[in-house]
Amino acid sequence: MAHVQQLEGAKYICCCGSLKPICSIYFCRHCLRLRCPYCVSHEVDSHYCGNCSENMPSAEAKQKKNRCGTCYDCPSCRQTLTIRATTIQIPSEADPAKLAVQKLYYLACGFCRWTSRDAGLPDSPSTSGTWQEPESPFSKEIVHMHDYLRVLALREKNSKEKKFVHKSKYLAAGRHGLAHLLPKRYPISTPDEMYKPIPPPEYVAPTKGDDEFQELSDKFFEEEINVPKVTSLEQRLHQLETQPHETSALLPTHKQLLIKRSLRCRVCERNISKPEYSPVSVKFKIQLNAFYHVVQVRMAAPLSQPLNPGGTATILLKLSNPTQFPTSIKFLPFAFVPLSKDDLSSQMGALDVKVDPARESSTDVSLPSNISSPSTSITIIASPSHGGRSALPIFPWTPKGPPSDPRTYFLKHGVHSIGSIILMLKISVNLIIWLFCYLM
Amino acid sequence: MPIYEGIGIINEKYPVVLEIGRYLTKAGFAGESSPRCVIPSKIKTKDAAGSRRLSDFKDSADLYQMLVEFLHHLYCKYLLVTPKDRKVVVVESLFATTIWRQTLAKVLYLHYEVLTVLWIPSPIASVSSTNQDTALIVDFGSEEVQIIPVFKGVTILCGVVCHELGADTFDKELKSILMDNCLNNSNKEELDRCLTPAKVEDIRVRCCVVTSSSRAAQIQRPEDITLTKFKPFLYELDGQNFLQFHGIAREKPSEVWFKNDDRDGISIPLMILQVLSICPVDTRKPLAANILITGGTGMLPGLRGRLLKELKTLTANSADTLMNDPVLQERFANGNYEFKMYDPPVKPNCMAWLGGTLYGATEALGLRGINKEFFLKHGLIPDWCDLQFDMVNANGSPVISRG
Repeated sequence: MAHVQQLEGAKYICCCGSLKPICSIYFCRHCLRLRCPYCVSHEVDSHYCGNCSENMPSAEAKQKKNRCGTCYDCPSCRQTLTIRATTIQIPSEADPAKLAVQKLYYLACGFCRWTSRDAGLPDSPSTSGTWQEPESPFSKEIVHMHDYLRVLALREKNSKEKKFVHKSKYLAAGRHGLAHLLPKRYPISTPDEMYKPIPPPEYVAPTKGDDEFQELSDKFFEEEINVPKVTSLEQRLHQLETQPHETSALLPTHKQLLIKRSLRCRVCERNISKPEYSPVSVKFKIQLNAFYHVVQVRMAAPLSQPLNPGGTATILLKLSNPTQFPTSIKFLPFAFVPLSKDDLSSQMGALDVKVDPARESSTDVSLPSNISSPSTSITIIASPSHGGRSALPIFPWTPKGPPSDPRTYFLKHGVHSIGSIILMLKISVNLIIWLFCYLM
Repeated sequence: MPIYEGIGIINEKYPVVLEIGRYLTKAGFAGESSPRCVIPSKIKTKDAAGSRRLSDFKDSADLYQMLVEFLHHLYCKYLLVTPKDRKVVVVESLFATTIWRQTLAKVLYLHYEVLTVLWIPSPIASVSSTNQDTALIVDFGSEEVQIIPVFKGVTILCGVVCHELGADTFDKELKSILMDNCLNNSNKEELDRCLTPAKVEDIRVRCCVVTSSSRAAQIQRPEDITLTKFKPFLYELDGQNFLQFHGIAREKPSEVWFKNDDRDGISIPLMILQVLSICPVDTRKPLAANILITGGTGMLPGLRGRLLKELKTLTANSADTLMNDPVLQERFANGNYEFKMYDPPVKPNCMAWLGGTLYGATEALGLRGINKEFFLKHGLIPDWCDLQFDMVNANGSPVISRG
């Protein structure tokens, strides 16, 4: 599928060595390295509800188990439920003879037509109604189990700590009149505390024999099963406390919250991306995407002919720079992949492209007449770009080199660049050409 | 939870409890009674299949990438916490492969920089969720059924028996029965296309049951299989198309657990007796009286009653030889054994997870958890099958023995 940013056209090497398109990569301004989503740590910034776009402070989110207080999900199809109103006439409180109109609310799903009445929930007189949440029938027993295990674990921890209180400590404490505090500090220092029997648990799961667990009776098989009335696995897995068998027992659940993430560079521990607090806004407080800070290389036109090994090919590249500074770009030969700064100094066969911002609107290009090696630098004069859309004709240039030498060039650039240039290269190829961006 | 605990809860950071199963992953926080989410153990891919199971990894680098992506999805979409902040409790199978464990450890400690991880084997977790210490765990998994005895907190490893009778085998059996017993469509290729694995699983979850032993005997006799006794059911494919199946498709597949006609001739009651005969003599009766069924596949209606009835029939004091093995026959067919099953406070599919959360909410996490320094120093986490770790030092932390 085509993409505006040509995701497959040019890939960037991140510091971890993986190849990513420019829109998936970040640029750490302090380490001056490219970072992919693997190399940054993701942190939760804020919680908000996807339906009502309301922010929730993290303490409240924790207490409500990351669920919105007002929005509900349909238990049948997981869409958001809407609150609908009906009116009924009941005897008014003031005058029992007259009938007053009262509004009652119920939940309804616009997609699968499930309503809260299907679950047997009565209509509520208020919009933020008291619709029942599914609750485990054994929640109290589980709390008992938690407490019991906590007691056991505490005992184990205490027994591992120092069992003996040194005589000097007793004497020292006694001197200052604090001897009565010692048993509290070292609770297992007394023998009877250590060997106290563990109290039996309040709740243990009961075991039942075959009189209580019985096989399915023949009556069970007399009626035909109505398959749509039985819950599916997915419906059950969303209501884990009760996991009902019939769809009539499905209750609406509160909608789960979403998060906004902030990204942090793992090396320098500085923020790379920090969104704004408001759930509705799509802007960022800190936005260090590579798209806004790093030169982007694109194929300006598709290849006119397929690549032939040993032949020549014309490739039209578009380099655009989003920053305000001039940039110099270096094309490096294929065999050389510089992943660190020091490698660059000793490499040979690079193709330098300098963008000189001083001269304006001149289409003169100085053409070196004799190009014997690919290391000749080419000066291209470009007019200042307006959003990178300016185009200019460029001279053709053919490097000479042994035909078996695969010519693929790396781009290396510093932090200065201006405008956007279109570079047409005639390169002898042996293999498919990849262009890599390496940021120093 | 009681209301007065609410204030403490806001400030306290509860650990994350994860159970990454072969088919489903349960994830949540310690101190709660049910997981926050139960999702399939798959990652989304851009190819034609659309998703890939975590258990289908090619090598450890591939698994590493998959686990990073899977945990990222889990944390950002369902748990909604920063991974670095919370300690983790991982409930794992006893027989998890080393490559799986070490890769998961690398992902948690190195990539997500979790400070402490407590690794709990699932039999211990399942037993502790009953608040007792003895159980004969029958774990119905997606691939196999494992029977693991735990006596007074000690897993009797030599007595573990596994057979491939899990959900995959059940679904295969169910699909072949459905193809043979469709009442309104006899075109096999079309049926094969319609009955995708997801649909077969749906039929299993919604329609299949474990029948009574008397009806099971009728299933074995073809002349007894009538439409009146085994009422047909309709299964909806989409809004307009239905498939009608003979009622026997509801009851026959689960017979694979009770009467297996392959060369092994193994069935779950026989497996239980095998396990009991391997265990020490004094543990047999307590284990028999404390059977615990875990695993989502074991939630079919009627399983517990049928299993108890079959065990009772097998061990009844009678002259008929019901078992092929004379040793088992001699030991157990004397009417002395009383088989009982647990009625736990959670459903079987969340039992092991609940055990993890019970441990996670206590001091056990700090005492028995493996922290990041240990992992960075040794490069591995302790394993019961790794003889390097057969010693613990005075304060209980594992120590690598030399040589």
